[in-house]
Amino acid sequence: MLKRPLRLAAALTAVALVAAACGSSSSTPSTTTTKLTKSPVVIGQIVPLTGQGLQLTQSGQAMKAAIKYYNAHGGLNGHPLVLDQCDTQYIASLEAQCAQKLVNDHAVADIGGDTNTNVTAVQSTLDAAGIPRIGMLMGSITEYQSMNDYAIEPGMILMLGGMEVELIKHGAKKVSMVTVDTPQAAQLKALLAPIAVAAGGELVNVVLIPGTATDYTQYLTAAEANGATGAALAVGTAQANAFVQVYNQLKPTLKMSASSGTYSSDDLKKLGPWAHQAYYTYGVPIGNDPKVPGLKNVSTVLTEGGSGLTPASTEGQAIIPVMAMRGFMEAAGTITGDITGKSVQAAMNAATNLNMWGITPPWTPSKYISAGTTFGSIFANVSNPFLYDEGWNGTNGTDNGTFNMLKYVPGATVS
Amino acid sequence: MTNLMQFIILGLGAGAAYTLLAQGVVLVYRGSGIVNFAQGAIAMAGAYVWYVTLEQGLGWSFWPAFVVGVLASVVIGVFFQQVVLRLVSKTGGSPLTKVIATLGLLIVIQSLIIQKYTDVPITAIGQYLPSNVWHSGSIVIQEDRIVLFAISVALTFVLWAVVKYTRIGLAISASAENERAVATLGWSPNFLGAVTWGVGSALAGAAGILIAPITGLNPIGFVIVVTISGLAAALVGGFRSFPLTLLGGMILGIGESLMTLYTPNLTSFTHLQVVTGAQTLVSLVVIIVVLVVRGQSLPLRSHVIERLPKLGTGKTRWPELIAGVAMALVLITILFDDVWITALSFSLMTGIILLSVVILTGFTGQLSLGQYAIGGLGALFAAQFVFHFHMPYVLAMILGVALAVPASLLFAIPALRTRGVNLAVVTLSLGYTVSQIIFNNAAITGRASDGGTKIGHVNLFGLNVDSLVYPNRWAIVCLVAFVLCALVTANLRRSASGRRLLAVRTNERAAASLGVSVFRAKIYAFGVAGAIAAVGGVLLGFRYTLVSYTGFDAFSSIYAVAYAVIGGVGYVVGAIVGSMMTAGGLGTNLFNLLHLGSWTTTFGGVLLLVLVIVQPNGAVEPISQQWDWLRRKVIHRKPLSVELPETAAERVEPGSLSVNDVTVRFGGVVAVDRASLSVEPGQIVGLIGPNGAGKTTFIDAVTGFVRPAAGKIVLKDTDITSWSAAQRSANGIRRSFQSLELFEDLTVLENLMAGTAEVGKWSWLTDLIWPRNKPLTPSAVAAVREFGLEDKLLSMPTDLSYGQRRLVAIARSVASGPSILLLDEPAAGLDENESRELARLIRRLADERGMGILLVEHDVGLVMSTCDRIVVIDFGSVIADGTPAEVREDQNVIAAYLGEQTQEEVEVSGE
Repeated sequence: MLKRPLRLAAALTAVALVAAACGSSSSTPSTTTTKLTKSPVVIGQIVPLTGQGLQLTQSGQAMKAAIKYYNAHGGLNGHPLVLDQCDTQYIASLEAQCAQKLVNDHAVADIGGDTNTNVTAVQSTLDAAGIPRIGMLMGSITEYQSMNDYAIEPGMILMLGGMEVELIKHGAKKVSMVTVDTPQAAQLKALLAPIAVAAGGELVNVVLIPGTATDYTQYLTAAEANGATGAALAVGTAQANAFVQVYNQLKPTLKMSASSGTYSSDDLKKLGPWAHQAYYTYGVPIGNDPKVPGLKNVSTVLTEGGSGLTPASTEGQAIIPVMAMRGFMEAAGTITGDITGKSVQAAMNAATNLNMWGITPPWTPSKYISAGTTFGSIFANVSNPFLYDEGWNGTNGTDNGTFNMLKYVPGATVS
Repeated sequence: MTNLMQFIILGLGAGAAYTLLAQGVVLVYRGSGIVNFAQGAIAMAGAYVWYVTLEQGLGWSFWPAFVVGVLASVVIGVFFQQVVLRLVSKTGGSPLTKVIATLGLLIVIQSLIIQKYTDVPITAIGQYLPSNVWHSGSIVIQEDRIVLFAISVALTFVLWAVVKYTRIGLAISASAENERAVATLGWSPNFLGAVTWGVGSALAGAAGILIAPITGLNPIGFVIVVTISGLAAALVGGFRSFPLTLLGGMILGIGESLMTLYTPNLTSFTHLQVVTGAQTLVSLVVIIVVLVVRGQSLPLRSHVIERLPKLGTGKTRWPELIAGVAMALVLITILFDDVWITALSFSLMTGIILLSVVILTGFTGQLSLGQYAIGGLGALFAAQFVFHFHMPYVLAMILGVALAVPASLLFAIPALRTRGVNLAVVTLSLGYTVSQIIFNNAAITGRASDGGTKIGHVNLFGLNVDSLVYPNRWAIVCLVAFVLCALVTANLRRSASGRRLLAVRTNERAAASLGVSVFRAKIYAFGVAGAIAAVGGVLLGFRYTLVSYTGFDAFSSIYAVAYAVIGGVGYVVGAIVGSMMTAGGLGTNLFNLLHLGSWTTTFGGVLLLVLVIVQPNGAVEPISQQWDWLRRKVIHRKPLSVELPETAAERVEPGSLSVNDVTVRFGGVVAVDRASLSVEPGQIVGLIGPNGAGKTTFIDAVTGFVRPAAGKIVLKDTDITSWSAAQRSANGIRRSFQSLELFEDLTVLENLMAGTAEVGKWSWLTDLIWPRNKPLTPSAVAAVREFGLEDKLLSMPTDLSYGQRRLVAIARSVASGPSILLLDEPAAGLDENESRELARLIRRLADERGMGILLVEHDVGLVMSTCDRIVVIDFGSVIADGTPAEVREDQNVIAAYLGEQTQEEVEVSGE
């Protein structure tokens, strides 16, 4: 072997390792500096923080801040909280491994998590171990139907439906759904079309944007087909940005709706005219909506927890974990014996009208739609069916009130 | 019509994007002979630096940020060329190794961008090109897309003009073909390489920045779209023509736009709820059309023989295997917890897919980037049997694998018409299309609401092996499957079927000359590799109660090749070593212990770059060598030797060759013009003529390597004019080559066996289970003895002297006992003594074995003293045909060729 290549090889490898060492990725429980003396309680969060797909960085930051905040305020009845945050990197096998890790680490709950590529494995593992999932982003039928899941918001499918409803309520009766080309896209038309009809409108197009789209003009043009007057934009941030850029250039007459889960006010400031005309919906409001005073509590947690997020920079994905921790602390605070997954499950099932700072209605985690109807069997454990209807005035979110999605789900009832 | 026009115009923007990226690929290929798979990643790096770091992060204005962004791309490209590629060249790396290095660069850049920019929210990128909108009736025209189109046209013209009309442009093109020749003309190849990669990378960076406002910045989508579509456009241009690349880019952009328009029609036509990934069909169709039109089934004489990574022996070391399995069982049942067991299972499953890469790329030299797609198809088929027909799991899995084999042959079809990097591009596109159209469509894979295929808890032979409930049982299933697949792979390596694959891998022309059907060999390789990939895919899919297809994507196939190369793509054990690096495997867990889990992919990319420089044969090679040394020391084995049976040389089946008025044309050039000759059993006919007279072309026509435009070739009273090279060879006509064209990765014995192995009816299957190597035929044994190769049989050709290599090449042609033997300049490079000895050997072959021999030689003395008859050819036509004495006196021959040589050669030959 040549000597120079060997030295080079060693140098390249050393550079890589040094660069890697300067990076950070935590997937082991982090300890806290508190004076709490009881046994630690492990809180898990299975979430994609890095990797090749959706990255919920703010969600991870928010959980860390929440843990720190509550530890500084007495922990869970004197038990320090330890965060077991597992980065799935949006990889199916890592999602399953993260679930196993939570089991191995004796986590009592998976809070504020999000799984996408291997929901069945994660759900099966946590269900079997009796570890409840609280405040996760419900994106699949599996999560909707699991009685081990306690979601604060109505979940992805109802949120998409809410985007339709919002448009129809604001006069855009013929709606296009613009979303990512994924396996789940095949079911959208069947699920969302009846919701549009129930709201007095019609779903006229489903436009699928592949992850590798080059020029978004053609998708905007496709969204205008069949006389559409409104388009719900349900894509990731990078794609949404590119779509918005085309929208601002072409200035179509389409009204737009989007989820405020991935937009903060600071984000919207950079999106030009599109941002002013669009409607936003999610289970929680835009981070600096002055009409929702409860957001100040979220801001307090994030600030005292050292997240670095301000109300204007906070996205919905950060608010949900904070509220999930709120709900957990309120419910689990009633546990008198050992704090385990099963006792947390029992506490969540027993909890009623938890105070969520007025951001969502008082929360009864176990409230669910009765099974028996076509849609009811899918949305079995939607305990909070309300979505916000918001606008944006250039500085703050503007709250136009909330609407109950159950009204638009044929056959749905609440028990 | 309005809609049609609108979408055609809308396609110009995307078409311009593809063109801008593809032209950089073409320039780099023209200058270095390498297709840069990392071009899209370099483009993305420039765009991220420009926008995220400088404009958004530091508030720079456009032009300074643009310049620095482009410079960042230039630095990456030049660094890669100067450090990695130059060192790869110095250490003897093949062109394939260099292409794999570009895959490593792609992995490193993409993973570093993900790491660095994960926490940075990327806002909408404002358009800095003029962004007015014009209306023509109801048609909308965006000014920025028109400007992009104009830029792409202007760039095409500039590149074309520079390469065609400037000295440096011509030097760059020449350097890719022959660096040494260019150096003698005063150009530094290193300088030209740096210029090529620097300019090519600058084009990438500029393209990335120009198109980022319309594509958005996304480390995954950006790289895929620019890599596949950019390469497809470059393929249309043949990686050489800038104007045709522009055409290719526009076809792709407009085609994809029209696909968006007509997707609803496609949905209605197919009666599916939704049709996913329709746009991907455009690049695939374009690529396939180009290949059908342009492809070659056999490489031309000018095709460069590539040295490929070294091969293992395929020998199964049973003590080591048993120890390895025992250790794995201890880990699974005692030492590992569920997290580590899951990681081990994952490494084993991906290791199986890597075994398919070993077979395809390692053994057969086919660079396919679609193995994960085939694995996914296996999972899909098996899952459908469970979901729809409630079939028992074992049966469903077997059927799934079986059905994946014909599906894998779809990937083999491009391999029949193309090779090398072109094949990589096609299979990447094919795999991507499969994942987008089939795997992405839940209406095809299962119930739309499930997002996959529900299969429930897997049980095998009544035992629940659900990976979540019983991870250790599942791990044992994976271990058994891996061991079985590894044994099959090792058996293949050692078998006659495997030798045919290796022959094709090393030298398709030589393989065909020995009766190996290149077509069948490639089909077979894709079939076996497809079956093994499907086994891995079925296991990956069936590990959960819902089969999810998201992991069977294009990038997984790219990583599979990268990791196989890291482990050692020529070694069976290399597959399990490489699989450790897969994200989610044991390597990730090890990195997690160091809190570096998300850096696994980056480390894998860096490791690949390091290994292609210092250890291009993979990590396993030095370990294997040291282990062998240790074994020999410990076990004190005697050096291996081959015992030859005592057999007598047999006379060959007599047969005459008659070539009648054969004409060969290459375009407007007539290389052979109505040439005729005949060779009888036991006769040696010489064919001589000046350089360029058409002698080798004549041999190529006789042996089936070029198709004659006219004339007839008759062997043993049968017209073989339309037969393939392999058919002719199998029926008694063999040749040697001027350039030897030995199988450098096979031992001398294996080279001989490649030419003689009899193909049993079921050997394609039995070789996988129990490879039985038949002893050398009497004819082959005779060849070994005649050419004095008894003690060289276990040597590699690279260990032999030039003269010995010549003898091996001829012995290989003789080993099957052909009726007719064509020798193309067999004495080239030999000294006087060696030439004389060779002449005696040739004479004995004719006299004692009864072979009819056509001898092409420049050594006139050798020809005059050895041949019974001589045919002289000049400018493609026969000008004389007679005995040596007659030819010597022929005035035409003296004028055209012999001249004063005759007297000199006569004196030398001693006549």
